[in-house]
Amino acid sequence: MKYETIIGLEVHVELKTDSKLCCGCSTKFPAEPNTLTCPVCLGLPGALPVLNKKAIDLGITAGLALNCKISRECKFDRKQYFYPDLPKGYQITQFYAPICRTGWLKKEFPTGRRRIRITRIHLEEEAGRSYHSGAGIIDSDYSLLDYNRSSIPLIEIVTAPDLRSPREAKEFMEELKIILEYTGVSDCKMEEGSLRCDANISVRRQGDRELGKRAEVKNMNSFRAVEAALEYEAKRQIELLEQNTPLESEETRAWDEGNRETVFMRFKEKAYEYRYFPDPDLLPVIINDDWIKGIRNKLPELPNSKRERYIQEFRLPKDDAALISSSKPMAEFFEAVLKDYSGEPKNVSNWIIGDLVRLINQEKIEFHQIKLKPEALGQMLKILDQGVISSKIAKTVFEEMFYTGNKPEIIIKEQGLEQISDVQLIQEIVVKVMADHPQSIQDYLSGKKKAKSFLVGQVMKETKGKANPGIVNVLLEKELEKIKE
Amino acid sequence: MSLTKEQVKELSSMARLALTEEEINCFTVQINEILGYLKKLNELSIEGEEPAPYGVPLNNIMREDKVQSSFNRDSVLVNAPQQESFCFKVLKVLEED
Repeated sequence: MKYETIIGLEVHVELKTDSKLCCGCSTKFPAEPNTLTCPVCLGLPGALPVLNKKAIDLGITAGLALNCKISRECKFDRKQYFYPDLPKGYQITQFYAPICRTGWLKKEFPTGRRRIRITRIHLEEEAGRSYHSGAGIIDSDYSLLDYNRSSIPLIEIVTAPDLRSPREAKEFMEELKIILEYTGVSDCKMEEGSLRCDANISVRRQGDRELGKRAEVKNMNSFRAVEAALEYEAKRQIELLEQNTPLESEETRAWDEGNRETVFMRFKEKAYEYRYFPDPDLLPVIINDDWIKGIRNKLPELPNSKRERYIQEFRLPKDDAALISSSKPMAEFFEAVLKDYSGEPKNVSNWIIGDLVRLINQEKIEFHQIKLKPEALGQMLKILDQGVISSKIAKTVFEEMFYTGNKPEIIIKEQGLEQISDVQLIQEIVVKVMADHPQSIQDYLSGKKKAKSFLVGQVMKETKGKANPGIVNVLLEKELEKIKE
Repeated sequence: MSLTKEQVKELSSMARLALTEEEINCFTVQINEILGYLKKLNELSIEGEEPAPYGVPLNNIMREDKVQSSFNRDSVLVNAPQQESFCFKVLKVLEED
C-alpha cells in the first residue's frame, strides 16, 4: 500500500526592524533581561500603542516577494488568552483583515517544479521569553520571564497543504529563508528563533481524496529538525493507519530533539475561544497603490530569477548557480567581480564556491564580513589569465587578499610572486636540478615516467612555485632527450 | 438572550476569576440585568450601517522605526511579586493532566 503525506506550514518570522511593533523599545538581541521594555510592551494600564510603519512595509515586502494580494485595508485584532509570556492578556494580531492573502512560491523539487500556495500572511507581535527552572515546561516548579522580546513584530506565513514530503517541507523552508533574507524582511536566524515553523501533517492512502486527521507538530528548531520531526510523524501516522487505528481527533505534538520523537501535548478538539475583536487602540491602515508601487520598485532581483539568469547569461552549471544565488551577499559579490572581469564567469564561481567559502567556514565568519573586495578578485583573475602568476601562486595570493584585503598587484610585487617565464633562467635551474638528481635521470631512462614529474617538482620547488610549468616541462623534456641521444 | 449559571461559570474561568457558588448566583442575576439593558440597542435600526469599532474616524496613524529609551529595569521589576535573575518569577505554568 502506498501512502501520501500532506503537509502545510505556519511560519513565524521576526521582522528586521530596529524598534518594536507598537513602541520604541529596541529589538536588539542579545540584551540583559527586561532592559528593553516600557509600559506599552509590558501591558501596563493606560499605555497607547502606535504602529511601526516599517513593520507594515516589511509585511507588504514579504507579500510581494511571495506573489500575494496586498490588502487595501489592514486591521489589527486582539487575541485573548492567559499565559505568563503575554503581559497584556491579549496578543495584537490580524484575524479579520490580514495584510496579505493568496500568494505562491515556486520551487524546484526533486519531483519537479511546483507552486506552493500561500494562504495568508498576517502581522502580529511576539510574546516574551520564558526560562523554565526544570528540564521542560512540565517538570518546572517555576519559570522566569524576560519581556525584551515582547511585542517585537512578526509575520506569520500560512501555506496551503501543498507539501508532499518532509523533505519538501524542509526545502520550502530553506527557499523561504533565502527570499526573506534577500528582501531584508528578516535575518531568519533559526537558532535565535527569528524564524520558526509549526507543521500540520496528515497521511492518506494514495488515491484517497479525503484528508486524514492531522497533527500539528511544534518545537522544530532547525531545518534538519523539520525534516526529522515530520518523517517521524508521517511514519507514526502510517503505522496507525496500517493497524486500522488512524488518528481520531486532531492533536498537537512537540518534537523532542533529544529522543528524536514527537510527543503528545494535547487534543485540539476543543477549539480555543480567543474572543478576537478589533483592537480599538490601533486604527486601520489603508494601503494604496503608491505605497505598494514604492515597495515593489525597491524589491531586489529574487533568488529564483538570479539562478535562471546565471545559467542563461553566465553559463554557470545548475549547482553553481543555485549555490551562489542562495545568499544575497554572495550573489552580489559574484556579480560585482564580473563587472571588472570579462573572462569566464565559471572561473569566478569556482573561486567563490571553492577557496572563498572554505576560508569563510574556516574563520567562522559571515559572508558580508569578508575583507576581500570583488575588484581585487577580478584583478587577480585577470593577472592569472595573463600568465603573470601560476594557478598555484594564485591560491597564495587569494589567501593573502582574504586575510589582509590587499590588492593582488601589491601582494605579488611585495612577495615577488610573479611567474617566471624567462626561458634562460628556467633553463639554468633545469640543468642544476638534473645535476643534483642523477638517480632520477637513470630512473627516467630506464622507463620510469614518474621520475620526470619528480624533476618538474624539484624545479618548481627551486623557484618557490613561480616557474611557468609549461615552460619547465618543455625545457626538461628537451634536456632529457639530449641525454637519451 | 440571557445567560445560564453554567455560562457564567465558564466566563469566570476564561477570565481566571475564582468565584464562589454564591457569587456565581449573584453575578448571573446582575449580568442578565445588564444584558437586558443592552437589549435596548436592538431596537435601533442599523441596516446599511458599517460596524464602527473605532472611536475616531482616522487611519494610518503610524510612527517611524526609531528606537526610544526603554524603562529603567528597577522600575520595571518593582511590581513583580517575585523576581530572580532580573526576571519576573511565575508559578508552575503547565501541570501534567
